[in-house]
Amino acid sequence: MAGVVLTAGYDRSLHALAIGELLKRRGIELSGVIVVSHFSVERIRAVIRQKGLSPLIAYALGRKRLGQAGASLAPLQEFFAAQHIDRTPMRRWARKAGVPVRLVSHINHVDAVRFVRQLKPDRVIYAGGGILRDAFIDAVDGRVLNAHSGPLPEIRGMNACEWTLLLGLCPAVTIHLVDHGIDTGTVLETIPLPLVQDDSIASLRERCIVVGISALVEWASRPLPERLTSRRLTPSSRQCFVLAPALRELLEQRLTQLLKPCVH
Amino acid sequence: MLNVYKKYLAATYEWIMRSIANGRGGSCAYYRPLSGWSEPYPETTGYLVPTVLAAGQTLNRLDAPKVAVELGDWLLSLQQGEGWWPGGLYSRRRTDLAPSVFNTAQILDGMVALYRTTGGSSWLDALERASTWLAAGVDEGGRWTLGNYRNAFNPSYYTQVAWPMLEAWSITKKTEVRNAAERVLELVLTRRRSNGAFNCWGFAPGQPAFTHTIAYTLRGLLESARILGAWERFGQPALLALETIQRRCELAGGRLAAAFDENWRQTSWYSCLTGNAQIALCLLHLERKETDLRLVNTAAKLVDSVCKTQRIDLPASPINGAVAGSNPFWGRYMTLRYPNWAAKYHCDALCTLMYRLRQEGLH
Repeated sequence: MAGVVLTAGYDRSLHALAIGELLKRRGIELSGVIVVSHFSVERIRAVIRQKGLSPLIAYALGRKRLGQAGASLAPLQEFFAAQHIDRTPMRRWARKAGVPVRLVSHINHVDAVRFVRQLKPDRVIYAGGGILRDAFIDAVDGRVLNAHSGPLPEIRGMNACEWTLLLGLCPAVTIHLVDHGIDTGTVLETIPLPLVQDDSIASLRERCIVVGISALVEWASRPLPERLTSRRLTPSSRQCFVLAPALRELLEQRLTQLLKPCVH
Repeated sequence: MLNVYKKYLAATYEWIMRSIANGRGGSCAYYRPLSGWSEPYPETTGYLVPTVLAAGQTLNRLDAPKVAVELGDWLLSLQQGEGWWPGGLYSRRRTDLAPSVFNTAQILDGMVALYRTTGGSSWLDALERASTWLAAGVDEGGRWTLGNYRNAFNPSYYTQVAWPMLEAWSITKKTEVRNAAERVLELVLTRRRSNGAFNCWGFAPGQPAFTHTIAYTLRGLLESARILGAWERFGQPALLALETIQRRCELAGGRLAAAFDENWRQTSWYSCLTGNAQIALCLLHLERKETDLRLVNTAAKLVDSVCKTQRIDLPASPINGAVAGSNPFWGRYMTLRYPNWAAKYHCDALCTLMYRLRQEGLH
């Protein structure tokens, strides 16, 4: 096996750190780590495009960390404690582990694509960094694994946890290959994630991340399908986007009713 | 959020009432900070009638039916013998009255609403004459030669003429009106491009179209499909354009470009706020058929984008509750003005969104 390349959305990504550390403990070769810089023109432009100037102003005034969701980190904290993983910035971790690391301004930067091509990994594990474009995906012949926090093909796109609940589906984490569409790649595994008492949207999101971490580590060494197919879109596969405030309020009001056993 | 939306609806409705109070019978076309209220505008007064009725009911404004009837009476006084209404703003001094296809159709919308609400024969007579006049002017190819905004140009947003014609047909059952409306719709369908856009859906051929006229085009198709029970024929063709716009809006965090050309190149340094509200309405009306909260999500963001531009904390000010033509204010759609039709569509979108959210159980 030619090893695995891991992406990280930013240097302090707990998600990527957990995957990297667990891969290392399993003896799975990590041939490289790509870290997307927190402070890049592209990232700032994307934030402005999506959220306007307010988050940047708040960040500049020291009120909020850029990109911070503000969600509870309890499930992830518990996972880190149970696995005895020390929190370390990704680049420092990679250097200590002897793993080549590349810092890029955005995931589709020519440096990132070149890095992947040079390493010729068996697969890439995507743990954040933005939407992957054709050049990156093609550089590894489509062997990019992602953990999506919702059932596919029904819930594609953003706020997958929230949309799963709002549309009356059972929460699940889907391990899939990344192709040229948005969450349209081959599904490898769907892992149901029933709601638990006292669940909140934030805790469910965190639990999805934890399940995704474990599943991606498992899939780092499993055989992949030989023929990789992209799912044809159907009307039920309309892409999901960030919830509007009114829809978020609707979801919060409904959540207590949703804390019932559901069947896949 | 419902309480927030209700506050914005109330403020926008009050602004419309202010435009009527200053309109000497109708509703002023717009308010401009430097020069004040304009003359009243028969076209938009016409389609304000159903808004006054619906928003008034939502807000429990007991005088709304009376206000709507008074607007209707004013419009009746301007209807010409053959059934048409003239284009442009109203002025007592005007002598150059010429028929307007589009304006007649929008006022027809008001007559239909008044007839459905009151059953009064004067509204029935007015809508019969107007729809008959419109139908008589449509040639076999679905075009009008008389009464166009620009010479012989029949824009694709004339689906917004076909729609009121079909509403009138649903009352009068005159087949010539329905047939004429269908010819207009069929002409527009011939202009549909493979990317979902429609040629000539702007004010002038070959130029980018404001979301205002794009929404007219799409809404006209959706509503005509509903009335005729002909989704595959008239509604389905609007879907790709609407989904393209929905996606663009979502990817921009709820902001929508002011204009698109026929290849979907966008003018995005400003938004056309009327268009934002109208597109929200298109999505909500589509959602009635498809039942997909993802469409409601985008509609909510568009409504929010308009609310964010409004002042509702200055009750004595003539801009309290107003909706500007553009955001920023100096954008190219109705520059530096607050049009009454922007307020109209924002009221409609707020009412429809609130209704939909209540259906889902939001309280």
